Order: sequence, then C-alpha cells, then structure tokens
Amino acid sequence: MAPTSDNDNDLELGVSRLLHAGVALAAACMLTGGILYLARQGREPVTYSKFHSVPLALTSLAGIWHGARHLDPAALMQFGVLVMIATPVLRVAFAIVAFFLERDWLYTGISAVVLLLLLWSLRGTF
Amino acid sequence: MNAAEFSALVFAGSLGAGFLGSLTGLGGGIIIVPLLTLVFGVDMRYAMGASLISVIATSSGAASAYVREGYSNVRIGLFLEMATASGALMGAAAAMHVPTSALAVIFGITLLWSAFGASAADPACQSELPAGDSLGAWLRLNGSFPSNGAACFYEARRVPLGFALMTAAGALSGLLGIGSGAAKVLAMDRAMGLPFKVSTTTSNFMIGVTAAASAGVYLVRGYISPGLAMPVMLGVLAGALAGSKFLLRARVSILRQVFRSVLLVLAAEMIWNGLSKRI
Repeated sequence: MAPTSDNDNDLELGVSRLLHAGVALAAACMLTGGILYLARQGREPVTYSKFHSVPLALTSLAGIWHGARHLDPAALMQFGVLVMIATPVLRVAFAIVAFFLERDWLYTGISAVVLLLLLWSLRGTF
Repeated sequence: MNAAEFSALVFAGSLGAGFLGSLTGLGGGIIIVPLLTLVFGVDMRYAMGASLISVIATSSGAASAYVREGYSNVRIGLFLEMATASGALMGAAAAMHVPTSALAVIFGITLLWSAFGASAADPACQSELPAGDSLGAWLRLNGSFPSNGAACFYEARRVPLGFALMTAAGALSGLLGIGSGAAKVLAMDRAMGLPFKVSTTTSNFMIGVTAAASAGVYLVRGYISPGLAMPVMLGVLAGALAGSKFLLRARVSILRQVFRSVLLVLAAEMIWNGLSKRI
C-alpha cells in the first residue's frame, strides 16, 4: 500500500494553504492591534520584568472576542494569538476527516485522540 | 523604555532570531526566551508565552513548502503526537510549580544540547518497502519519499522507544515554551531510524501541534501578554520568511557556526543566571 497517494497530497496541500491563510489572518490581527496599541500607548513606559498574570479578560475566548469586537488593542492582538493557536488544531481536525474518508479507522481514532488532547488543554478558555 | 521603543527593539531582535533560525535549520524559537530574559529583562513566564506563539507561527507558516516536497509523514506525526501532546500538557502543568531559576538552568542545558547534539547517520536509500510485520508496519508508519526521481522507502523501528522519547520531548516543550524540535528529531532519527529529511519535516509538523497543547494552558494562566507576543511573533514570522528565501544563496555552514557560538553564550548565561537566582 502506498503510504501517501496523490489524493492524500492534494488534500494536505489544500490544508496547508488553509494554514497559511490562518497564519496571515493571525498576523493581520496582531498588526492591526499592534498599531492601535502603539498609537494609543506608545509613549507610556512598559516593563515585563515582574510577572503578574495578564488581565482575566485576556485569558478567555469570550473576553477576548468581546474586546476585539470593540477594537480594544490588547484584545485584538490576543485574538491574533487565538487564531494562531487554532491553526494546528484545525490541521488535526482536517486529518480526522481525511482519514475518515479513506476509511482508515485506526488513524481516524488516533487523530481524534490528538484533537481531544488539544481541546482538553484549551478547556480553561471556554 | 516606552512601549514603542521596546516593541521596535524586540521586533528587530526577533526578526534576527527568526532569520538565523530558519537559515541554519536550528529553529528560531529556542533563542527567543534567552533574548527576552537576558537582553530585555523580561520575566521567564512572559518570555515562554511569547516564544510558544512564535513557534506555532513558524511551524504553520512553513507547512506548505514541506508538503509539496512530499517528505513529511502525517501518520508518523499524528501517532507520535499522542505522546507529545500528553507530554506537553504535563510539562505545562509542571511549569507552574517549578521556580523560574530552575527553569532557566533546564533551559540552558536544553539549549546546549540542541545546538551541539549530533544526529545519526542517514540510512541508505532503499528501493523497496522493507517486508515484515513489525509494530511500525502494523501502524503503517513506513513510507517513502522522492529522491532524484526515484522513491526511497523507509521503515520505523523501535516504535515504543520513539513514543517514550516523544513524551519527554513534549514535556520539555510545555515546561520551557519551546518547540523542542531537536528532541523530536532525535527520537525519530536516532531511536526510530527514520531518514533525516523525514524526521525534520515531520518534526516541523508536530512542533505546531505540541505547542498548541501547551499554549492553551499558558493562555489561561496569563503567560501570554499580547503587547509582548505581538512584536515577537511578527518579528520571528518575517525573519523566518526571509530566511527561507535566502536558503540557497547564503553560506550556511559558516552561519551555523556563528549561530552555534551565540547559542553557546546564551546557554552559559541562562545557566549562570539561573544558578545565581537572578532569573
């Protein structure tokens, strides 16, 4: 059995284009948020030498989405972070579909386990 | 320093890190944490958060190039990802309880080892799929890649050992906010006997997924500060993009030596600062 058929590669190529789009979208959110942030607070002093967890609103999906919709600079940048985190998660989700269509049950299961682990790690943000 | 100056300097540093990391194939992520902590005085936890996001960016950004060349093996990647993602979850959970000075020492040692650890000799190209009913064959981890117009077949050996090493690689990634590509390549080429091209490209695919598993934990815990992640991620991304375009023109062996010396100095500084509790 050929491990990767042409069909496989086409699908993978499509998925990787989607990933590229995801990275571009994340970078665009970061850039927009960054410009707004520097325009408003660029002259204020900044330090990251003491750790005190970032505001609670920037650690949950609902908080980030709410802030990003109101064009809050920090929330927009954090939305870019979320989109970036979502790209590999999407990639695994597409792998489940691809293996399912190939009737490769073993790898449908394996990909599903990986997706569950990823969703488990994100559970605190829901 | 005001926010604009700070962002500009961090962007420039990350740009250089991404550029050199992609040009030398040693990865840009591992240099971000020492750059932020040692040069910019950033707390270790914020540095790990920003680094992790840039690791995902380079992994997802480079994906299409590798797929087109047909080297990465999605089955190997996903199978081993069960190990690395669980390892990453454990590592990220442990990171909260380990003092930052200890993290700095572990980081320094990892840095040394990823800059200087040697990889195994590349197995010879086999013209047909090795027969046998090993665990690797049953899991359909064997595969092929194109080389000079012909297909090179390979088989995955010592699968349980590779799986165990991958769990450790994932734990390291979650603990330190890095991609731990060097550890992943080690598990694949040394333990499982996979060809170098297959292990490096499959490792690139896996790095993003592993990092995403830690990123959720980091995000909830407030390690990811958007004002810091912004210049780091944009810088590394732009640098890696430029690096991939220059790949054929630059004298890579000299650059790799230079980059290794930089990593050596940073590793020593990280260990020293960790031991003297300055981080």
